[in-house]
Amino acid sequence: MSTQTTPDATDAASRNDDVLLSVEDLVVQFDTDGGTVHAVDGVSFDVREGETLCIVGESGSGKTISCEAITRLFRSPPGFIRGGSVEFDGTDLTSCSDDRLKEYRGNRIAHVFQNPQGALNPVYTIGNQVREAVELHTDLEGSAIRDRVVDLLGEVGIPEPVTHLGDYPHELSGGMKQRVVIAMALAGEPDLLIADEPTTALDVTIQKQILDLLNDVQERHDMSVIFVTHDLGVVAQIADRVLVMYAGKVMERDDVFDLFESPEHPYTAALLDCLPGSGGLEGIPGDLPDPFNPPAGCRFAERCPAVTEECIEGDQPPEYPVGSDDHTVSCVHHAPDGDPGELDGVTGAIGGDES
Amino acid sequence: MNLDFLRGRKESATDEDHRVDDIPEDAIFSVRGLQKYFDSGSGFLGESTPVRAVDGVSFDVREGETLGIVGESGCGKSTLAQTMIRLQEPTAGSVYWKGDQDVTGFDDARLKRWRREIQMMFQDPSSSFDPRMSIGDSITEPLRVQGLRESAHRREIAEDLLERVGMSAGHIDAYPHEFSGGQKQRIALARALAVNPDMIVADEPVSALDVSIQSEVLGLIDRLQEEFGLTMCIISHDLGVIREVCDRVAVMYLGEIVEIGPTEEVFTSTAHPYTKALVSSIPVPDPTQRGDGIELHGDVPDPSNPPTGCRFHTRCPAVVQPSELDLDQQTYVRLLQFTKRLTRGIVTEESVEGVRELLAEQQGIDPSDVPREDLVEELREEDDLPERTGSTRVDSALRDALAELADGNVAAAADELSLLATPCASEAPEAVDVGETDDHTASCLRLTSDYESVEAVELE
Ligand code: SF4
Ligand code: SF4
Repeated sequence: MSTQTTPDATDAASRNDDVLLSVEDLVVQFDTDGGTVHAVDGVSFDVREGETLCIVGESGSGKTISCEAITRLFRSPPGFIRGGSVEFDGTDLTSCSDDRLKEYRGNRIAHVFQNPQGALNPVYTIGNQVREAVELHTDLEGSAIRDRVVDLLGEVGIPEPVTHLGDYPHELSGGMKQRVVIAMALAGEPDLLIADEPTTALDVTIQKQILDLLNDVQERHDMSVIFVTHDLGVVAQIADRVLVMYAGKVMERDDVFDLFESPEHPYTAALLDCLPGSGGLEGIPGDLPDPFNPPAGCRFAERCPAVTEECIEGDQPPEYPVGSDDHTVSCVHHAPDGDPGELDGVTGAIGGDES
Repeated sequence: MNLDFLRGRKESATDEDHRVDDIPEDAIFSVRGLQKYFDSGSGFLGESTPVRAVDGVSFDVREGETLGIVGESGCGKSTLAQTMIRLQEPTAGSVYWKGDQDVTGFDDARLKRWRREIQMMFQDPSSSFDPRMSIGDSITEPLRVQGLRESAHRREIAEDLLERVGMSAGHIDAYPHEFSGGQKQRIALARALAVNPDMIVADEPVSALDVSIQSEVLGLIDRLQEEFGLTMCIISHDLGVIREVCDRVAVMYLGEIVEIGPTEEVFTSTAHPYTKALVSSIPVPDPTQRGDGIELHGDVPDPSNPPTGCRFHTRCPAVVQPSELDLDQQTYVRLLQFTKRLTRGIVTEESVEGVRELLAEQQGIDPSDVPREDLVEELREEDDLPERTGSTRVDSALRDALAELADGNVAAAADELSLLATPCASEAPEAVDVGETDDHTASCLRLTSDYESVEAVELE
């Protein structure tokens, strides 16, 4: 296995105290009739207490699978964790039994998905479903449960929560459903909330409501959040730190302010350039590499404007530290003996307005 | 590439020989007062209230321009797309082609021919291809149907079109499943272009694609548009997409167009409060600008029972206060929304009973023994209503309303609050000219001289 490293040992040590979740060199594969899909291929990241880490990428990046691997949500078979560790608050979850893992799910680690419909049972009222979550994940009893249900629904911004206890999911709009799902996720007062594209299916005005809500509850509960999205606009609104993934590998990681100010990886730069209004209508020519048979070298090489001979051999380039402690870039031009100048005009073109 | 042979059978004389009065010279496609109602089929006591998906929409698409139609789900934009090209029959209103041909009156034969002059592109390109047909055949199928028998010629055209949409001619014998979503959408464009249409209507053409691919396909649309002088109408929920490729944009809310004008002007000198909210909801890709913008409360109302007056008044942060009142705007909005929940049956006698039971449980007493003041206070809190509003009249009306509500009299509670009634609920705003250009209009009472301007209120 390649040596994907955190920037350097002392930084890692000084940060360790407040790290809640530490994913190391995670490898997830899916065995299918067509062969093995290399969905996540040696990915490492930390989530610190009280922070929001955004994992951003397009389809096929492995962003969702990386998160599902934390509590092993995908079906196995076909999905297998073939390497690495997931350490949550001192326990390696990859070696936990399914039963142990269940204790973490919902209690300490909660999930919110893109489609709230799937998370709600159509035949139960929302009052009952939130109640069930409260009963499952707290020790509350009797009328305290009902109070808690009403409080939770109020907290997520359902007006007149008591009025809505008897509503069925189909009577609610998409935004309201997502609020109920968030209420259920909060029931166990989790330390970590994993939200996978929670606003992608919603209209933009409703997306804004839900993002504001998530920012709110995160602050109030001092939770850690992993937020998975393809939308860099959303990232800018919600992240503390960002992990940019492409084809199962980490391309770049950085603090959100630095990343938007000076993206250093050609892929990040290209992605930012695709944002409406940034003047670029070129897109990123080409397609994702074959997930069954990923090419040698940098996964982005086929579509990268700064590609060189070096890029297409060996492993994905290591994550080289750049500038601040938090910033790493997996690109040969940032190697100690590389020349970041090779990226001039590639990463520098961001926000460039040719018109 | 010369496809003029396709035009050989173009009708020489048109059905009517004069342009319809208010249609501009350069309009190629015009919609006037278009309505599409659906039977919701689930009304009370057998009477069903129709869903008013599209309710009186008018606009023109001018030759060589790209018009965008944008709105959130439930605004009727997809129904509009289907109805305006007669994939569905309109309930009322007219559609004119080239200023003088009444599309709504086309017979089957004419409609069939018209479907070549106007091409559609859909969100999911997979569903529009026959999986057993090579893409070369798919692209030129319409030409074959039209009588271009010579297959070598067809092949030549297909190769040329593939290259024009940025693909290699070598792909011609491949099958749809061999292509990614973005490539399929390119092929769909090639096929649309094959019959040399006068206009292309694209319904969410890039929403199923990844951002990097989206941007590529939009770039292509932009280029083709210039190259061929294409006329397009793009329907999308995504303001970013619209802004990238459209010359003009129409913003829809609950079946109506609330604002229409040149794209940049609509985005930068936004006139309508709804458009303002929509534009400010787009997440800004700049972490130093967080949490700004206008947050709209609640959801889009049910289109089978749209709000009276201005349809946006139930969510509008700028909703006009009655002339006698001068409350803090946010307080007013909150109170008005509470009133709406009373009148629209969201707060009911049963929900008040629910609150009563909750209090009884908390206090360990019988529901009937819950003190009225406690119930009033709990209801006030549930709805996040202020004790003081800055107007003693409103304060006392609210107190009375909550007292009525505590007694289970929902209608009486709503009556107590009638002093809050907004002019926006009784007066439907007309489209008025706004901005610098003469083709930017919006429909909001605050844009008329009778009311304070939108800028005068703090939108939050
Ligand atoms: S390693 Fe090479 S291919 Fe990969 S991003 Fe850097 S320059 Fe591009
Ligand atoms: S008419 Fe009234 S409710 Fe409608 S947009 Fe204007 S201010 Fe808002």
